[in-house]
Amino acid sequence: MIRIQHGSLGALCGGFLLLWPLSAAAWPELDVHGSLGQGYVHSDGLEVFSGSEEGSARLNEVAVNVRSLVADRVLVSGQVLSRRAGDRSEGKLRLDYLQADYSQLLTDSLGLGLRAGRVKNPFGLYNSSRDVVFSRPGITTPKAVYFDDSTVRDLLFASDGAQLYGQILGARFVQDLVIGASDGSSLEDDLEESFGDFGALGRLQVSNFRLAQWMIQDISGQGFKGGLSYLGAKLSFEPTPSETPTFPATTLDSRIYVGSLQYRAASDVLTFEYRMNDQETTAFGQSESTRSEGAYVQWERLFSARLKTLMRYEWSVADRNDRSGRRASERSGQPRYTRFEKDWVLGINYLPDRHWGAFAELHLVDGTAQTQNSGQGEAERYWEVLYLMLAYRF
Amino acid sequence: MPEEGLREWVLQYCVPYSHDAVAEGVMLAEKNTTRGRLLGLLSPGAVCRCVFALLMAVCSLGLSAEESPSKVRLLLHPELQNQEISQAKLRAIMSLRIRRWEDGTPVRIFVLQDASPLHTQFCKELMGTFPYVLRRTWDEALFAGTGLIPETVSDVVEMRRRVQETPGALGYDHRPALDVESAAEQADIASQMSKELMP
Repeated sequence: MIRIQHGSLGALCGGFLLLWPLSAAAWPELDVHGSLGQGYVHSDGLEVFSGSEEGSARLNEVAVNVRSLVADRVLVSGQVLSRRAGDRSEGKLRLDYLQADYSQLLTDSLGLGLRAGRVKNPFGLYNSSRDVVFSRPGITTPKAVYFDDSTVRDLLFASDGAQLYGQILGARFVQDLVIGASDGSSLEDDLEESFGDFGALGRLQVSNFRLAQWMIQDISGQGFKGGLSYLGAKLSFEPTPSETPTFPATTLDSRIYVGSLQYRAASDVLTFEYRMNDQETTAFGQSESTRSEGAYVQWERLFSARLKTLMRYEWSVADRNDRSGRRASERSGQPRYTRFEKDWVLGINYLPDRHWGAFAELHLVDGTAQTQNSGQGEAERYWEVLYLMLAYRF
Repeated sequence: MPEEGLREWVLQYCVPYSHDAVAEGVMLAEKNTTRGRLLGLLSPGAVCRCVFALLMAVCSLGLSAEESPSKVRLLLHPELQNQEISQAKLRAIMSLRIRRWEDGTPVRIFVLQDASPLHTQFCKELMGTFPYVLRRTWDEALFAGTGLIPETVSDVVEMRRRVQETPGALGYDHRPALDVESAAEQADIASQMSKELMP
């Protein structure tokens, strides 16, 4: 079910319909594309997406998008998306983005643009197109940076708001800048989908959603590409007044910083990204700050336009000041390995033609800080997971 | 296109110089004694020209051996024949940063499949990049909704037809080899030269 509840989206749709007659007498040409992927998960030592010893096919994703130039320099695009990943994400169809995008080259070397509506959040190298297997490195995005299996992931998808972007084309390099702001309402929907409906318990609000990104790359597209991304938001939970509230009023102020660096050669792509997340939690009138971090280094080997292998090492900790997890373990009694995660990833992508893709990925993991155990038993420190996916694009 | 520039440079300078050097040697041989011939042949100017000619000939052979017989050329819709497209502008178009031509017509890009040798040649020779880099840019724009992506056609025949009949279209095909072209093809190439990329 597509949920379009908010004023900004209604205004966008209205504007879209108003702009349509300006473009031409005829109905504008629509460009429709999409992707369908069906996965299989088999894990050992920790249950990922319900994929225990028997394996699970509860991993699939469907995306259909449409775009059109509706007026001079205005591109309108939208995408509906369904993603099922075990029990956490039930595969509801949701509106991923619906945006109007105006861009203008002011001079030969300077361009400006504005996107408004439900817009994808540019963040790191992969976030804006992370939900389709064809546009990410493999079956999974590096969770040390993109929180692939965490609730924070939902904050990163898309937001109802506006983004101002610019591009500076130099003789050797091109720079892209984006700043954006949102009222956070679409994020509340995503979070409720993950946490479940709060219903009578209280109300979750997202505010102060801001993002900024700067990227620089060689103008040819090969060689170096690098940049910095920032994303910040405040989550507030206000319990329904009652004599025995289940949860206290809580605010969570989160700021995420990512540094990205990539080198693109003829047959090899080397990528390094580092993420730092500052989080301030306030409950019962007391505040607590934590700083988590994660990084990965990735080597993609392109044997041809059809065949690629992938090797990646990811590392993340829940608290930068307690990387081994010792202090947290002494305090809470939880095992130390719940506070860090180190993940070796081996992958292979095969694209026999322009429509089909077959993907496989093996993870050998130490620690559980980034991954939710969907099984009943306790997660082991060392665990493995194999992902397979068959996908079609059109 | 450094190879293209070098090839034209070779044709312009190397061939006349090699002829000059040989002609000068023959002239000296006819005019002078044995000593004069040797001195004449070993004169700094003649030696430099011969060495230069040999080097350029080797370069030229190397280029000929590396390149396939037909090279890639840019195709534009007939109404865009007066467009001047620098490499920088082509890169901006192919990375979806430019969506419209100056007259407001939407840019429509046609490409062959990523694995096609001609597409690889187009990426390397005209764009100075790799096919996978373009594909990643297009996929990101496709699934984030930030651009109109190129349309993939099945072969060069379809490419020519679609570019010919689609307003605002840009594509590419093989350029006919210089030594086999007909007079009509010569005229076609001459008209295309105005749209060749300038580095």
